[in-house]
Amino acid sequence: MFKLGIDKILGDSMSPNIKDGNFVIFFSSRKMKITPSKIYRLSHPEFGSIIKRLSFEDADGNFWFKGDSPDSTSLKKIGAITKEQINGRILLAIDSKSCITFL
Amino acid sequence: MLHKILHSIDKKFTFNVSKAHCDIPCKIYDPIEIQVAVLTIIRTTDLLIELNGKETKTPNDNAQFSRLVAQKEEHGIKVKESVRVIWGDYFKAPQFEKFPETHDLVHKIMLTASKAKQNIDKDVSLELLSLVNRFAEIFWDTKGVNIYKAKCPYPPALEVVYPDLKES
Repeated sequence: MFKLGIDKILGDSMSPNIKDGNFVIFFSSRKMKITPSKIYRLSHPEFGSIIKRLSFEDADGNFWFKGDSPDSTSLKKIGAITKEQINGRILLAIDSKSCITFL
Repeated sequence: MLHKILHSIDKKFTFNVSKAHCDIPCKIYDPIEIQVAVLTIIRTTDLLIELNGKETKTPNDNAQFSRLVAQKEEHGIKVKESVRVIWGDYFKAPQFEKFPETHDLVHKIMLTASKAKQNIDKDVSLELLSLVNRFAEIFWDTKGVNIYKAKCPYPPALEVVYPDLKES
C-alpha cells in the first residue's frame, strides 16, 4: 500500500535541513527502500513519532538513526530500530518562507 | 505562501506532529535579560559617579559605594554569561551565515563588558548598550520578529531594542 502524508515538525534536531515548525511530505510503501543517509519517520517507543537520518544498518538487520544537529538525541539513546518501526521516508521539507528542500 | 496554506490547514485539521528531538530542548532564549543587565550597569555607573562627586562621604555612602560596585560587577558577569549562552547554544550555521558580524560583535561585547566592570566609565557602559542592542536586533531578525526602539520606562531611560511581538 502506498501512502503519502504531511507532518508538522516539532524540534530542531534535524536543523539546518528541517527546522522547528517546518512541514514535511513523506511516503511509505511495502517496497520502500531503506537507504543510509536518507531521512525517515519512525515510531519510537519512548519518543513517539520522530524523524531522523539513517546512519547505518547493523549485522542483525537493525537500523540506527541520528539527527543532523549536534544537539540531537544521540544514536545510542534512540537505540536500534526495526524495519516495522520505520513508517515513512521524508521526501521534502517546506520551511516558514515556503522554500522547498528535497531530501 | 505554501507554508501559510499548510499552516491554515493544520489549524483546522491538525497534521500529525513528528518530533525532531534534541537532548537540550529548552529553546528559551531572550536577549532582554542582557539589555536589562546593561541598563543596570549604566544606572549603577551613574549613581557611582554621583556618589563620588560628594565632598564628604558618610559611612553609609561608603557602604552604598561598595554595594553599587558589587551590583555593577554582578551584572557585567550576567551580560557575558547570557550573551555566551545565546551565541553558543542558539546561533547555528544558518544564523551565522545571515549575520557574519556576530562573532566579532560577541567578542566586542565580552571586551566592553569587562571594561565596564573594571571602570566607572559612562561612555564604556553606553557603548556596551549599543553593542547589546545590535545583538538583540540580530537575534530577533533570526527569529523573524520585527523590532522597535523605545526608551526604557525607568532610569537610565535610554533607547532599547524591543521585539514587536504583536506582528508575529
